[in-house]
Amino acid sequence: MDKHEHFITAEKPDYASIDRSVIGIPLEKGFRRPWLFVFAVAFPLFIVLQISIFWLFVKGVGIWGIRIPVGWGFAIINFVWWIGIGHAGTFISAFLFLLHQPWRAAINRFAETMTLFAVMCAGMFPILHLGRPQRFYWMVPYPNTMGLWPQFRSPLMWDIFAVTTYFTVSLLFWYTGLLPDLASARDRAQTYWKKRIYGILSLGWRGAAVHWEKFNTLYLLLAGISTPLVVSVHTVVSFDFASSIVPGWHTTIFPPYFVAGAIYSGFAMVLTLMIPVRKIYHLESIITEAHLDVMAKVTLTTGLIVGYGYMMEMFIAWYSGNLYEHFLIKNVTTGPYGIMYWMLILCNVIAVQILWFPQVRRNPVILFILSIIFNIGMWLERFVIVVVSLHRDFMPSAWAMYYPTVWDWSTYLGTIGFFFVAILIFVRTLPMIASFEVKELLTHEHK
Amino acid sequence: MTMDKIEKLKNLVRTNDKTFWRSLEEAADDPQVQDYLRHEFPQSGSFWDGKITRRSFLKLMSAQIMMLALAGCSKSVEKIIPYVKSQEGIIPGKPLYFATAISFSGFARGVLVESHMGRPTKIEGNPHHPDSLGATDCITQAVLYQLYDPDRSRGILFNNLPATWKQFTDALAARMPKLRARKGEGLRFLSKPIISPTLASLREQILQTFPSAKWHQYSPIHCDCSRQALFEMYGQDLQPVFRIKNADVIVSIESDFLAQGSGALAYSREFSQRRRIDSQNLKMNRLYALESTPTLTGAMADHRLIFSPIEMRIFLKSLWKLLQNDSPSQHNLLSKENQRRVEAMADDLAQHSKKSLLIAGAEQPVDIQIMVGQINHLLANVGQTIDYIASNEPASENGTESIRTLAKELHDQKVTDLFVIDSNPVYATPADLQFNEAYEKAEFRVHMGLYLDETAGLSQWHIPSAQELEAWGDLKAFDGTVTIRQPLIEPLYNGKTDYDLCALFVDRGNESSLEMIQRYWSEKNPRADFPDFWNKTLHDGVMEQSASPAISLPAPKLIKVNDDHPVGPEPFTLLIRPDPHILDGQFANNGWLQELPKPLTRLTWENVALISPTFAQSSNLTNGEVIEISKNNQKIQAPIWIFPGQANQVITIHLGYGRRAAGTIGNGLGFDAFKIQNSVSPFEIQGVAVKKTGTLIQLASSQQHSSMEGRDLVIAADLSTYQSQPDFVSRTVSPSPEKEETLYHPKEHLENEYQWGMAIDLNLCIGCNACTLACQVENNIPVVGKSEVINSREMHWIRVDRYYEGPVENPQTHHQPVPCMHCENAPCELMCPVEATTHSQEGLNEMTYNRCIGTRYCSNNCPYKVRRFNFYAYTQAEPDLIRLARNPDVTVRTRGVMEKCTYCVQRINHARIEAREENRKIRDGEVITACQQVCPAQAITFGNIRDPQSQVSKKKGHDLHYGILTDLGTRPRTTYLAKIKNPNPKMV
Repeated sequence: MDKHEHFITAEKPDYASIDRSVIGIPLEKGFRRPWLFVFAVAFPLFIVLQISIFWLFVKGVGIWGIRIPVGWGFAIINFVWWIGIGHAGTFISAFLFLLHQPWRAAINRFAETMTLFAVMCAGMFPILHLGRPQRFYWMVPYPNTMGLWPQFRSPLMWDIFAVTTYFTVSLLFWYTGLLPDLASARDRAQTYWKKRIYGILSLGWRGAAVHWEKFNTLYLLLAGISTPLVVSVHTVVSFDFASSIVPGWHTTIFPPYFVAGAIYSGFAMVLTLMIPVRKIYHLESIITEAHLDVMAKVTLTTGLIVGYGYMMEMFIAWYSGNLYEHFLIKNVTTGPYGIMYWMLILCNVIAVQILWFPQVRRNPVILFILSIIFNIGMWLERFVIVVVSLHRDFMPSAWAMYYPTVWDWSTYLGTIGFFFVAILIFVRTLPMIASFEVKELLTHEHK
Repeated sequence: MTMDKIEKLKNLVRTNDKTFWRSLEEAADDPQVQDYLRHEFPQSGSFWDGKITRRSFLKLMSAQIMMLALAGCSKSVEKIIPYVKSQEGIIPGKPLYFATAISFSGFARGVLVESHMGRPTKIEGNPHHPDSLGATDCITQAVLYQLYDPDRSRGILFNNLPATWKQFTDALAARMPKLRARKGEGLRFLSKPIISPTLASLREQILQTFPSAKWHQYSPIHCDCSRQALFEMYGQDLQPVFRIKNADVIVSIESDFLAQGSGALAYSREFSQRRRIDSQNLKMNRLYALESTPTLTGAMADHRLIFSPIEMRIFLKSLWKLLQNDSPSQHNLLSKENQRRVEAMADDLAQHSKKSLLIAGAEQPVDIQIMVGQINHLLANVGQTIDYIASNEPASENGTESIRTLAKELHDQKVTDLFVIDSNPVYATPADLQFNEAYEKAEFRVHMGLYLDETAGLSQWHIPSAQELEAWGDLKAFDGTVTIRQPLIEPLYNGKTDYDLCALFVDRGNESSLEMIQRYWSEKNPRADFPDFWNKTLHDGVMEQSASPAISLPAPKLIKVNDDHPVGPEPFTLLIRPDPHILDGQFANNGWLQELPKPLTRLTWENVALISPTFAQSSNLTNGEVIEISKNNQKIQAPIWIFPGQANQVITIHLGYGRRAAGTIGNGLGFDAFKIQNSVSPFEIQGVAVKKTGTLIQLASSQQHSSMEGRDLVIAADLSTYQSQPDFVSRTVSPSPEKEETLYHPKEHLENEYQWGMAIDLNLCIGCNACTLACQVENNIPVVGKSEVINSREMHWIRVDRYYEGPVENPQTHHQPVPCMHCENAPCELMCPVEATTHSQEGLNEMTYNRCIGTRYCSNNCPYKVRRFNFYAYTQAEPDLIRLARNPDVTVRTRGVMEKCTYCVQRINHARIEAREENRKIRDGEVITACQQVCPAQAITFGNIRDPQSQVSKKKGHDLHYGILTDLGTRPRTTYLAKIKNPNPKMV
């Protein structure tokens, strides 16, 4: 099985060495220097997030740059951005699982975890951006004394369902996949508390045949449930825009284009995180250059779909002959925010073409830089969609410019801080690679 | 104690070690029992069980003494009357309306004031009053804000220390013998132009008692030049009253007669009556505007010609000569284009003699005024389209001359006692008078005013004056009609009136203003039924037949106007005008007016230097860049605003800003234009120098984009187009989607018997903003401040959009009031996740504030962008006093909720209740929205569109009717009537 070989190792590790290198990480004592360095940056940002939220609740959403006509600003941009990032995990774990792509084994756990934290970051924004966040639960259908249901025609209402479902299923899927590795951690743990905690978390997993049988069935089922969610969540998020009448939002291409964009940004974020982690924890033998190569290919594919989306959006706007759509093209490309559009084209359409070269796809440093560029590109894309469409729509008299405030930035950077703090804690507490799946690969190879 | 409890007690006692006990009481002494009792009856368990030490005893005692002392801190006992028997005529929840008047510089405007339980909440127009006819303007409405302004002065001050009225009268009495002995030598009064006959008579009495005293009347906003011109021509002290409805051709020379000054509301009503057309009636008047700086009147003009003040003079002289059939000597000074224009205009005017009218702006110099008067006479317009009546003000005195004399006498130390009444000369006088230095040279300085303003700061005595809504008065309107001003509320801060002050000089200090006014009118009208007459006058808000009669005049003296012209273009001409909203600064502390976008520029909270686009381009200036304007050694720094339609080489600035002592709102806004004003030519300064400073400041404009971008928002055409194609509007507007796909009942919303709708006639709208302010007052809309306006977060529910069309040097200006469209197929409703915005059975798009969680999606999806969001807690930030002005029928919105125009649903509901009580349907015209009510041009019609006979249905059946953005399928209920212009075919 040559094909599998370079997805595992160069030096053919045995089970014990995999356990040592993977399960050993959460069990080791002390912190590695790079870990501490990243934490020292991320944690203050996390504090900034808390301060920003506190001030937001004290003063109101007026502290942000939103205004009439730009009723949505950074909060919604960040929501869509984070939700997009949160797509890679489920795509890798569920979609690729069903398609029997064995290379997913090395990265699925990490991607899933990233998904959970990204969805948490995303989930904060729709609540924070409300004028009266204390009433967010009115969007949830529950029996109440007001005798009122939410308004089921509103896409914001669909969002609630889409995002909460996605989060719940992703969490279950992630936890189920963790069970055998939690048991391994329990078995290898040296201290009392570690033994106890991993013991409780592993829910009595003994590796019995019956456990494995049930596990495999459940895992397959969950993968089956998750797969449509990969498509549905961002489709629904795209409805937030597509079902309105705002030029630049009211577009039928949005659902597929959003999904592709989401996977694109998700893979970019996995690369951003995996490349340094792989280096810091010496996992090059498990996450090989072949993995990077495959991930880069997926990024390239989805990136091209996104590029096609941009093209079609412009083409249809022109082809429609609609006055407002025509103006939109003009405004997006040459208006006051034109620079944002061209930067986004540079990041998402032009920079991605470098991935055609196999040397680039296997070069961790270049890939790392590119992955950051792609994520910036995707953020700019959402900025262009949200802000540039809104700031000049139908009534020229109402047109205005949008400028983010310091609180817009602090909230955004704060969620990045939260995300990294969470990822760092995960790296130090839970096995970040599905070691049992890697071992499975090894078994296949021994045959 | 119930039996089971006694049982329990017994059981408890039995378990005790103690063998003997004599009574339950003894057992109760036991700690265990005590515990039990304490838990069982906690309310009686909280007795003092600590040991009392000497220290704790002292602590307790001192606390007690302190509490006793605090209890004694309350105010002295005042009697209150319980509301057991209701006062006659007051029903809680039902407002009362009182007719009264608000005074301005040189005229008063009759109003009806809505009062809820003794609290004035809104100022409406008085339909009986000639200068209201039911409408009001922005400033008149905002007088309500002034009433509740927390920054008003709250008491008499002597050398900045609190004093009493008694102390003041004593101090004055002490000076009286000396003044009497000197016959009033050194005694001076300074007031606004007097329009009160009673006050005028008091003034007479004072001047009789003190023959050497002088009474100066001055306001920075005045008609001195017009009066002087009329005096020179006719030898009498006159003021003009225009009969706009009789005029077929009107020429406005730098005049904003539709929007500003005396009679504006009446004039715009009459003007609009002559603009209302349909396919049967195609007759319109024609308006020419000759201006150097755009005005609202100019924006309404069929021909707007731009001239610098020098060109204006030449043009007007040519016109005059042409009408005299004289060969105009200065004709060749005009460009070919203008020669053609002046000839066409002369032709038009000659054809409409007796039916034409020339109006010169109040700020125009005497020679222009004379020419205009002569032309009006030449065209036999006097008595037809223009009447001259006796001046409202007593004594023919040129205000600018007057203030100059006063300043000079002050400098020369000839003034010992100066009484400043409701004026602020230290701030609001031309800089060359150096009034602030002069003022302090008077020995005894008394200032009476609403605020502790710049003048109050330099005065020894300051007396708070009673506000318009707190005081009695008798005031004359633009045509001399008298209204008795009645107080709506007791003076909030014991303010005194000018009558009170004057009475002290003629030993009538014991008379109240009411008594003085009543005495004056009963003496003037000695009739048996005076009390009835008085009551009727109060009730109606106008005194019967009190309008000044038109004076029949002989032919005017022919005055030759100087023929030579200053040749060679002076670099810049500076025009100085009163601010359209805060006037000369007297309303600087008025939040409503400050935030109200200024006409045409849409700027708020600021004054600017208006410059022409050509000048901006040639000097590479952008909006907000600060320039220095100087003349001799007077200079000011002002941010510029590029003003389409402004004459090149002409800069316009507005008075009223740069206040130092206006109050918390008005202090430090803008720049002080008085600093460059001079008393010789107060409104026009030739040859000013302009210099860039390099600083840039951010200006708060409520509208940043002025082009329609090819969208069918305002549709305008010439009368000839309408004549040839009466259906041009329906052909211009992009059609609504033909078929609407819906799962719902398509006419679901049309079934109820009332279906509200609104039509706004753009042909009539003059863009005066009165609707915006009326809506603000009616619907408790908060003021958000300059920084929030910069953030595009102003809250006005109805805005007046201004669009330019055509070349930037002289564009067509269009106004479009935009309230909520109440779309039948509303895009906002679909987007709300919590059903906070829904459709009513009567076709209203309703906001349920309590349900709103603030996603703002409705606003994003509103193509008209009429929704307003409470980004901060704007309403909670308003001062307590201002809250008293709120309409109790309208909910105040909290932070984080969306709000917007409701079509004044509270007024609809009010009418519904009335109709139901009388068991009838709501009549057409019974529901009048706030914006509709104040509109002087009656451009807004509201009513039931399901009733084909209703006014609004008729408007909606008009050829010119259209809706905006209907191609989106929104089916708006607020729709428009296209604008028609009536240009002179020879001039096009």
